Amino acid sequence: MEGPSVSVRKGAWTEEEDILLKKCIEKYGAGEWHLVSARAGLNRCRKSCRLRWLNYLSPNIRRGVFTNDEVDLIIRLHKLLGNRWSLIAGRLAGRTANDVKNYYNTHLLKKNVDRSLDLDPRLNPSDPKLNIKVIKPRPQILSKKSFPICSNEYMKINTTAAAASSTSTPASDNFLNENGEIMWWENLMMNEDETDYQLQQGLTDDIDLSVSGEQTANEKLEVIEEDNCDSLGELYLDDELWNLVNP
Amino acid sequence: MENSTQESHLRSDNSVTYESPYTVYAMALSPTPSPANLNHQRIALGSFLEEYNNRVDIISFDPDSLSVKTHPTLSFDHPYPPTKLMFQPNRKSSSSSSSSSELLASSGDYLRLWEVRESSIEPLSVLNNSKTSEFCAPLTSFDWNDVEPKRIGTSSIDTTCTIWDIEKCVVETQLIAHDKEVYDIAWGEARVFASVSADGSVRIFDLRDKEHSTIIYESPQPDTPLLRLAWNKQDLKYMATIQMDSNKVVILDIRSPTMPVAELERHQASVNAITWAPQSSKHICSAGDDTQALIWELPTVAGPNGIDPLCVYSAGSEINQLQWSAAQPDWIAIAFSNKMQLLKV
Repeated sequence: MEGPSVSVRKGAWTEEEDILLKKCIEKYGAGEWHLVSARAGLNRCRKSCRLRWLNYLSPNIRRGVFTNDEVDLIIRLHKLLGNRWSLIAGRLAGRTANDVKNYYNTHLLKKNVDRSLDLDPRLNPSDPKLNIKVIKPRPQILSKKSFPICSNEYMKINTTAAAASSTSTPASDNFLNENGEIMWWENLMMNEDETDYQLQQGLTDDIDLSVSGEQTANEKLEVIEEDNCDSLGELYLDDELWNLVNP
Repeated sequence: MENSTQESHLRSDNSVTYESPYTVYAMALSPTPSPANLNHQRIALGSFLEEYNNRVDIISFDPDSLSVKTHPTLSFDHPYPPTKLMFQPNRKSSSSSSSSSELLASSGDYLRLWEVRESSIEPLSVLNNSKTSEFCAPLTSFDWNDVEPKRIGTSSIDTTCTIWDIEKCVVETQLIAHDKEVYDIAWGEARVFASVSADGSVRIFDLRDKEHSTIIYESPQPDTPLLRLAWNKQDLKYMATIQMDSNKVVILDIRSPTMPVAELERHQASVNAITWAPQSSKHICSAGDDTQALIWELPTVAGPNGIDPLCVYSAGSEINQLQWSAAQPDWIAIAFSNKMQLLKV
């Protein structure tokens, strides 16, 4: 995500840095982390800025002793979710994933191990299943630019779609997969009339929407809008945050 | 009126009310007629009690006499309140011995299958995919594939969707579908489903390509959860979704991702449930905390002042649940507090 930038500061944040970051976020709001460092005059990577804000500086963070209700909820949620600290913290107003994890590991871990010995048998149903490989599909965000349709054109879509389906276009044949099934929903998303395609290609040179070539069903439409790159980046950041809090 | 009909069933020409002993949340209408009487519509109702022991009751509705019949033998205990109930779709009436029984699925701690016979209910299976038996993330919803009836997809607060083969009782696929809790799932066709999540996105998944998902809508305010998703089975281009604490029903056209084709904004409080008409691609019903159920006809061109509902129905209190009968398309069922009410369209 960050280029091989020279001498980005690492390690503990100084009070001066905290003040710069706070002022910057008060002014611009939390988000657009790739811009924060420059705006604030900091020499920190965006990930570092984001984590510093979310885990330490945000005014929404609540510190101090966990109440009995909170502890009870942590135990219940941990029973349900395991070490999914950010999901658990999401249910506790103002608590960070890091604080919840630390609290659990220091105060509750021992107690809970003892409790799990006499778990309610209703919660332990029959055969433990084989390990299932959990897949994480990569989300694609389709470009807004490539689908210049607004609600006023609702009518137009319907009529063009009807026209397109009545005349079997060669384009639609390209979306047959190996089983001969139509990838109908992807097909639908691309099933604009030809002028629209040309318009799109004119607008966005970097997007290949060619439908006349030897495109196979496996070549997926991967269009990521400039603005969305940032949100994808944040997704990856979340993954890293995940690894950080789940060592 | 038949003797077995309870007195609590208020009647009028256009609605029938059934009063349950419990607060009602989950509700399912059978797509096929009751085996005992082909004119009757079976309805499964799940209780919402904030404790472990909950109930599911099956009742039947007779549209001719406008009465509701209870069946004390068609009732069972359910662990935790069911988050969703659904009868098996597209049951083949010719399917041999099972013609007098049908399957009902429920979600809660696990996905459970029940066989509803003429005068009894048997638990068939408990489908659990948690790797360690110590944890089980609650299921928020599920959907039964109507093209491939052995396939059920569940959504969970642990960010995953799980696709089950209920004949073999094995997991076909488990996907980390979203960045936060997944609140609802809906099948489009045999291998394509979509889901909504607390991360505010609607994503489409194709089981033939598990490496990718396609985000087709994101709530305008980041991380505003999307609670329900209804895929228009009459015209698969359209889906409807609702946001948490929002009075809007968002209508999506998957050909124009990220931009809703319509927003229905005539509810005065948050919308809790949406359902497409079973036999028309243009009609949708929504119900919410304003105690109203609204039926909408989607216009071909939206006017400048937004879209007004075709008809309005007011219930006694906040409506939590809504189903449009596929077997009797003149009837819509709503649930509010401890009541289930059938409304004639």
